[in-house]
Amino acid sequence: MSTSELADAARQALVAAGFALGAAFLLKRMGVDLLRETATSLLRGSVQIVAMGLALGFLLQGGAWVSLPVMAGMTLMAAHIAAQRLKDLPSRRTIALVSIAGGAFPGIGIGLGCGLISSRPAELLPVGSMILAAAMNAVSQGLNHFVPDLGRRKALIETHLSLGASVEQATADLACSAVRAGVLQQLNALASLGIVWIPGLMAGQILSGRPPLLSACLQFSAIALIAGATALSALCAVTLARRRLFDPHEERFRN
Amino acid sequence: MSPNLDVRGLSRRLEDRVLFEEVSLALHAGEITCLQGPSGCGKSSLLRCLSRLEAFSTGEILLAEKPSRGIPVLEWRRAVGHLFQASVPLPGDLSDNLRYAPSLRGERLEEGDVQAWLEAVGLEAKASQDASTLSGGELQRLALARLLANRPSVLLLDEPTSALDEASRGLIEACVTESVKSSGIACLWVTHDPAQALRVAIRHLRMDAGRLFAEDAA
Repeated sequence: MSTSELADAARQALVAAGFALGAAFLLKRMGVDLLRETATSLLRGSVQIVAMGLALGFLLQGGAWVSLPVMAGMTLMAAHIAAQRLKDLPSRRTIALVSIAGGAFPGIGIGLGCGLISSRPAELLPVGSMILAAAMNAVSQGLNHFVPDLGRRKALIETHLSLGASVEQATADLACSAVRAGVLQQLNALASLGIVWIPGLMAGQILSGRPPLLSACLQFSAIALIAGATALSALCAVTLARRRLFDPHEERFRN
Repeated sequence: MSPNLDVRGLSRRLEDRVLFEEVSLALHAGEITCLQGPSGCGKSSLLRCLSRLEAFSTGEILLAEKPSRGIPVLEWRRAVGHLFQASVPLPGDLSDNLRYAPSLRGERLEEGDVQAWLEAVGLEAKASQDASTLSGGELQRLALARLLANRPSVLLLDEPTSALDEASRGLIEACVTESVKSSGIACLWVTHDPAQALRVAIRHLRMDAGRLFAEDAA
């Protein structure tokens, strides 16, 4: 990598970040103040991705054992990030961690089991991180719908309960809506695959000389694994949050 | 004759305060007991504990002589109906609202029964209307019919007419007094209106700072 290539990459990154900040500034003028959060996220993201880029150079050359601690670290971080926005949910870090792992790990396991990905860090880490990130978004989206909805609809839920409904029955609509919110993004991605969206994994495979048909199959399999993982994660998150916020024996909000 | 609901030494304490303490009362079939008292004295919390929407700290509640811990909560809530100060509609039309509670037990409320309950609260002409379009008074009448259609043995009414006009108030009073007498329901009615208490109740209680008194002793 030459100095001029590095300078070009830095300039492009600055332009892209400027675009994101400009959009956040526009939002602020319309009353949606995400400017500070966007700036912090950009700074944090840039440091993280550069550090990861440097680390990957080392990690991707390592043996299969390298994948395990890296995946564990990524999962913990994903849970931490997902839990940050859930101030009103007790045990939010545990719920986020179990839910992300509960969706992502079966997805990764199936990928490994059917030979879609190998345990070499060069394959497992990129695909695993895609699955983890999608699971994290599903948990975050689902819980960010579900928990505030429970507060807003407390009167309706207690009306159901007072008529003899169980917590599961009383919150069924809200739970479905939250799981749907968590999963919808990935379902849209699956439906628009190849028409609206040509994913980076497939493009990279083709550029590196893999036949397009095989690249397409790999990409479809990865997106399908992600869709399954997000569904499990969102379901797991809503179920755990419900158990934490309601008393399952007395069928009521916890006091 | 044993009461439908027997409350013995019931207390509810939070970490930093007492909501009510040592409350004992008996609700008998066919009787309306009115409970009055200043806002924040613990009336609504007491009702929420009686319908097991909140936990109590000490004491015991017996439903038809059986302690609450021996009765599954869903069965309890079918028998102990709780009407809130501001009711909310369930999805669907008025008939759907009335059929909801029986359907939870796999029962179907017949069309004739639906009509009879709606007539009792003056809503018979609106059976197929979306419940979310009802006015506050109509909604409260629907909520009462929805509870009664569940055939409770105890009715807990938490200021059900406080925000209603005179016509809706009259309809609710008439429906409750008639149902209590004809179906042997025991009713605890929280109200801020002394005139209403005199109209509907044969027994009068007062709550103050979490303590319960017989009205004449308050």
